[in-house]
Amino acid sequence: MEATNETEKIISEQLSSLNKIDTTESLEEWRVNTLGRQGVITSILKSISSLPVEERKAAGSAANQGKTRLQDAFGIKQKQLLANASSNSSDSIDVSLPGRPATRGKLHIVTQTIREISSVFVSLGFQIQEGPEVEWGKYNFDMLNIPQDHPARDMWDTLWVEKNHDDSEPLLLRTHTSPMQARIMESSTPPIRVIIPGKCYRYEATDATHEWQLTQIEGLAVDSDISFADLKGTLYEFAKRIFGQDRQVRFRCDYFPFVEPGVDMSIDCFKCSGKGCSICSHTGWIEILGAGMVHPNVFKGVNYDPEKYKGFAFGMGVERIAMLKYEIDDIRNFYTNDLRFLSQF
Amino acid sequence: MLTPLSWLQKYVDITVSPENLAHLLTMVGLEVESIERFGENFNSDQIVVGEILEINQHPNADRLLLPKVKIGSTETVNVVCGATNLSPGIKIVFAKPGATLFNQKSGKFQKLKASAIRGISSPGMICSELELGIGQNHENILILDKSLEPGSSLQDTFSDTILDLSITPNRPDCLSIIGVAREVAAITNKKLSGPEISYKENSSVSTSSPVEIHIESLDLCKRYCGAVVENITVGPSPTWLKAALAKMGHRSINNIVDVTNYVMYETGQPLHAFDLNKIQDSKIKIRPAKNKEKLLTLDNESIELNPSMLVIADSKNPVALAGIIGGLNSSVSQNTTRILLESANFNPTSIRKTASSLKLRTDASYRFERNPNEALASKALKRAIHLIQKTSSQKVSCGKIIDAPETQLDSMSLQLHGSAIEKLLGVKISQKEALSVLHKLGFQSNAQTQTGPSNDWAAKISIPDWRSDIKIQEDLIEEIARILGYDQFPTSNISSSIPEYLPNMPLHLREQVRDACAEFGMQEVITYSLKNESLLSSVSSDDPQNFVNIANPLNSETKTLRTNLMVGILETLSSNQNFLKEGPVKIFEIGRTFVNKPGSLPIQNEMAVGLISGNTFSEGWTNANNRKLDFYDIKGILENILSKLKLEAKYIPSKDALLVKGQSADILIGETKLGKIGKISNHILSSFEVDEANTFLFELNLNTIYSKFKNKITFRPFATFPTSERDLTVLADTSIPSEKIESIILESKLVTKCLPVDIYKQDHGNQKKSITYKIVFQSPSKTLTSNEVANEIEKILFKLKKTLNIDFREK
Ligand SMILES: [Zn+2]
Repeated sequence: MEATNETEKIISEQLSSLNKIDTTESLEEWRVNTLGRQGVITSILKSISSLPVEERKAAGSAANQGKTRLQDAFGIKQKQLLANASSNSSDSIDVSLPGRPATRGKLHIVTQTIREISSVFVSLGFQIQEGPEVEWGKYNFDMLNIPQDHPARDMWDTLWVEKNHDDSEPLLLRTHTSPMQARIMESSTPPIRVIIPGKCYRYEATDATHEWQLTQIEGLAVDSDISFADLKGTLYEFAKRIFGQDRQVRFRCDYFPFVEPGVDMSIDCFKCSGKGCSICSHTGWIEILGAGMVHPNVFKGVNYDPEKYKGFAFGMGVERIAMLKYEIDDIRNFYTNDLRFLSQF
Repeated sequence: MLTPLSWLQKYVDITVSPENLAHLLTMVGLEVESIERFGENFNSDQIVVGEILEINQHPNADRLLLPKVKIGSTETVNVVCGATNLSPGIKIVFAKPGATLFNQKSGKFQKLKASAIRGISSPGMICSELELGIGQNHENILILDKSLEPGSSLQDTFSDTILDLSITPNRPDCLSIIGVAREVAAITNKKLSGPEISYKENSSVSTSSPVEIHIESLDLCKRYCGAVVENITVGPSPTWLKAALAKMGHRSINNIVDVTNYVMYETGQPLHAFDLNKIQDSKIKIRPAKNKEKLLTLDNESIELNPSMLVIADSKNPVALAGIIGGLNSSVSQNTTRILLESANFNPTSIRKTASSLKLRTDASYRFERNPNEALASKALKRAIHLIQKTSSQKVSCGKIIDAPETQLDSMSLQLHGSAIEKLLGVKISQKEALSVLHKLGFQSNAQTQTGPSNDWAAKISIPDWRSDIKIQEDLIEEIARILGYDQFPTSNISSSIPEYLPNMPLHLREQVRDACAEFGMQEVITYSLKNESLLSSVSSDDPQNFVNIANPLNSETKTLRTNLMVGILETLSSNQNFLKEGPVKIFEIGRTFVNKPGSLPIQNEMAVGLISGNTFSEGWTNANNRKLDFYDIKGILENILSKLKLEAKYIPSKDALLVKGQSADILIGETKLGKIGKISNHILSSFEVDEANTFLFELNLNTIYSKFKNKITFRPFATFPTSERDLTVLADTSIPSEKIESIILESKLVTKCLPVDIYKQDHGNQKKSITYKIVFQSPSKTLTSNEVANEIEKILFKLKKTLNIDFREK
């Protein structure tokens, strides 16, 4: 019985000290001392095992009841203190102040856009490859059915690399990612389904919509049963995923020497919904990419049988897509790297 | 290609709105870039034909005249005019007050107000082309045909809607009004009519003006058609011709030259008129130029020729640069009475090479480069003769057309199969539908009975001479598809099997580095790959001999491909220095670098560079402890990045001249150098105008990472027995890197972790430092006793003393 009385005494002491508590800090201290792993209740419970057997049951139940009372009282006290805290300035903080800045960086908007576009095509079974930025003229032009001195070469104003010897093969900064079409077909056999992101360069004066350094994503799918319908289906899917399910997509005839038929894909203008505005040059449509069915001459150049294999290819400007998506009005922002620009994305 | 609708309307009936027409043309591949309204101001009663009745001097100004102008059947006005080409009887454009005219001073179109000039009221104005907004001439007033009625409207002549078409290089036939009209007819199901080409031939001309034409190289000139026209009177062009050229943005020169230009725009065939009296011996020779031969062009530029260029020459000298520009001396002038009209077909490659080497691009060279149809030469010549006869006096007589060489042009044909259409487009098209599209475009067909697979069909398609771009069956299929409309075709998902997966490990690793760089606090930047050569060599360890330079750089700032990423990252820091006021600048770039390799593509390695600058301070109320960034901040970032790739690197003091000695290291994986890290030296910072001295970077050769990366990670069981921690402080020579001490401590099998927690440099004279290590002991097989730990420490201390002469230091 002595032990039970002792327990009662300790419990009431603890209750009275709990009553006096008026801060969350001292309440926490009380909780640790009383109910914690090494608190008084634990030591009472531990001590029971050393009592004579006949006393153990009563002492145990007294201790457990006491523990329950203390826990209940603690809960009530905790609620009181929390309710007071809102009016008690010493405990509360100004939650409207900015938090401590955690350092973090962001990926360049071009990188983010490449990843976004790539993930769409990867989910459609395309794999990612890359190629050299300094390229032989042969791959950039000749093997893409763009012969020397053909006026189609005007479509790509070129930065040429200084020659080491007069007789060395012409080297250039690739003007598009299309050379990889030929390189990939040269080194593998169908089925082929790849996209090729990468930097390209043009001999071009810069203004709000023209840059001499740009990023493209090329795509190529070749097999014995690839058709124009697949081209449309694949690119349609891409446009909807990148620009939204509500977009209208338009395919029209265009010319690129390495495809036949040639295609230009546009989406309806998201700014004016087709009424005509400055973004869409008052046509209601915005050009997104060029595409087409691989030209038989390109197949012949890589020793593919153009009767057996068909394929489609496409190419798009990453900056252009980012400009449209984020309403960026000047392409020169991308590579001047003002942190006020980059940190927005 | 500017296409005035009134001109187009001559050859095809247009029943759709300009906007709709623009849409239809765009869809079939003739992209309309803009729709422009031309001469809109003529659509009002304020601009009319006027007749100069008499010319009086302005009483108060010597240079001004006061002509009396008839502007209606009875109505006359006196207006002030400063032009010098006025004469009684001529017809002019008269603008009444309220007319919209271009004001040269303001650069805008404005409403004309009645005003007084030097005390004389002037209720209107006699207009120049510039004032009317239809040309650039502002010195002279525009003179109209004498036949026009005073007071009548000029709306039909000058007012127009013009489509600006972007013609792709494969469609030279559409660099002409007729070509565009042909497309319009095909897509709107209308009939196409051709221009009038009839003319009167006078056989006596060949005796009065015999001309000899000789082509030296048929490779360079496939066809040369010429005709002599005698008894011409060179003068101003009729109003309709002036208006037509004005709409094309072309200046009116005289009635002969204007006809050649008009026919070029209409048919796509460039023509040239020579003053036959200036052609020595009436001999025309189409030959390569002689070395250093000179030609004074129509633009009054003297150009030096070489044998790669084709010229039209008389018996002595070049009189034109073939297919590009005529010579001034043989050009048509006021005194010309007889001309040789040329309409030829030149080798496109030769024209292109010459035009680009001389940087002389003309409407003619632009068309010849695109390989116009050979058959066009004689048709266009006939059209020009027709127009010269129509617009000149009756005396004009024309000789027989000389056509050299006299060749029969073969018409080309291709086989078209229904199965090929289906395979390419993914949909069946009936023979009837396919052929009907081709017929609309001027193709002819011969349907054939099919011998192969049962459902297939075939036809032999003859290619019209103006479609030199149609060379293979796929070209025909494109014609069918574009006219039917790409939007009409079905869409499908690729049904072919997914290609075998080929892992792209470099790309995977590089993107992990990229993510890690951002994750650990740096903003990604992407800079230009081309740099200023001398700036690059100031931060490059590569021999400038191995730089890859651009032969035709845009400017000197973009002449050389980067060999490392330092220039770009430092330029970016430099241009963003104002941000250092708000906090540290932490940026990184990943990209290719280029080093020359003779006989092959340059070495195009990928690198990563990270840079931090400033101090830890960040603007805002939370900022408490502000200190300068140091070497260990950048190293911490790099260690995180490498640990993400499961790579462990060694850091040994670097001798890199770009980095501060003693605060820089080479980064090694095994024995291979991965890159460098350290504080950027002041002389480099100052050459990039960076003021912040606390600037650190690391640069990694990612190709080394690709080669060192081991994909395989094997799980190691971890010990579960309790650990014991001890702090151990040692006194070591400052020259001993901590890493060496750590590695000796870690040699103990019972040590699982050793971390320097405090470093204190002793008095400088002593050259000693004291380092405290937190060492964690753990046994894989049991709980260690204090004695066992103490024994292990003894062993470690003994080893440290023995190998590095390091003393234990009592706390
Ligand atoms: Zn719009």
